[in-house]
Amino acid sequence: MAFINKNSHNNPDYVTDIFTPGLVSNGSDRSYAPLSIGFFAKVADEAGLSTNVTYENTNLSKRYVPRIVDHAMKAACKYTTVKPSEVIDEVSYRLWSIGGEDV
Amino acid sequence: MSEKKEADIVPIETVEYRSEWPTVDFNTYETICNHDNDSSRRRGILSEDSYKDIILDPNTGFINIGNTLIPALIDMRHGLAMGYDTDRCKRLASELTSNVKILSFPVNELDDDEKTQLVELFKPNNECALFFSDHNSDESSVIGDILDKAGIGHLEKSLVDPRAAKGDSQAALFLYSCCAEQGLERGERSKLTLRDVQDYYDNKLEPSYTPDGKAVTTLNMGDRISDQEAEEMWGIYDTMFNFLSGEDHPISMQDSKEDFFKLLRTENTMIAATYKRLENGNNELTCFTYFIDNIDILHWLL
Repeated sequence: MAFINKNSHNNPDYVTDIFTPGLVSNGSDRSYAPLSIGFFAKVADEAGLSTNVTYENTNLSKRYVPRIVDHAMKAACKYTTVKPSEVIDEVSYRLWSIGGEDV
Repeated sequence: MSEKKEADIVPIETVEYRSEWPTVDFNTYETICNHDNDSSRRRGILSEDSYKDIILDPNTGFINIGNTLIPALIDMRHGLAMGYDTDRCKRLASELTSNVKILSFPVNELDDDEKTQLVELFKPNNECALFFSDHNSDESSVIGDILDKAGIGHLEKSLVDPRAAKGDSQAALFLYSCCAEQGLERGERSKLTLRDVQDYYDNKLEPSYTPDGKAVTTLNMGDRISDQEAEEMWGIYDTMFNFLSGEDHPISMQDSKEDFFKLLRTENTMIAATYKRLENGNNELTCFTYFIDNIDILHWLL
């Protein structure tokens, strides 16, 4: 069973697991970035979708992406209760100097 | 001698190096690597094609597990096969050494004999810069222990991004979850796919314009977008993901064009795209996000 499925196994069976690989902006019109996720949330909300949306962040993008996602979802949904984004897993990356003169 | 015949000759170093034990096939390697993996990301080498190159590379270090050889220490030039940004990693390690390696097997699952074999792999050069991933610090503590026992010095070089929030500067990837659940007031709740959502949009809704009319957002399924739309999305993606990863993050958050399209242009992908309306009447793509309801196609996740 996939990690994401395992993580959401307590969710009701009408909840659809969705992964989003990225919120991508051209950089010059960043104020438009929440529009795309907000419109998806609005349509999904009206259509009747219950979902567990999963996405990855670097230690840099976590500074703003979860806030954009949560704000856009909450603002767009009329029929859906939105729980704020939470971290469900973390992998860190290490660089070690081994056996050199400086160690 | 023809080029083809030259290519058929197996270098003698390869024959000597790989001894009498067979190398495990990719599926077995992948299974062993992830057998007790409780993280969201797959461990080890992700691509079967790259695996073939790696096991033929005379610089790859193997350990013997159950009389089969498993690649455990690989050159950074194969970094992309494990999601590393090869050039960035070499730059990050440049002040240490030019001998940059990656652990390609979870050390915390090795027994004592296998750990000893791993230590031996560090000895021929006696100096390297080593990249590895760490879940709950399970790798760093074990690697530190075995190097200490072998009397091999080690020092961590910080991989930090000053633009990150305080306490989050260490290079890492985080998996987030956000749950949105329909209330009971609309009656029975049923499981929907993204295609169902698209059908609802196609039949009942229209593109969404900003109040000033300067931007419009649309929804479409990945298998319905045109080649031109896909190229526009690739153009933005290719530029922006370099920024998002940060200059000091060893992992590439950016797929190749081929892999990007494999996720973007599927029947399980929905794309929300926002366009700026230009004065000449044309629309210019400014941002998009895409959603996938087939978790199995996310090859880097467990």
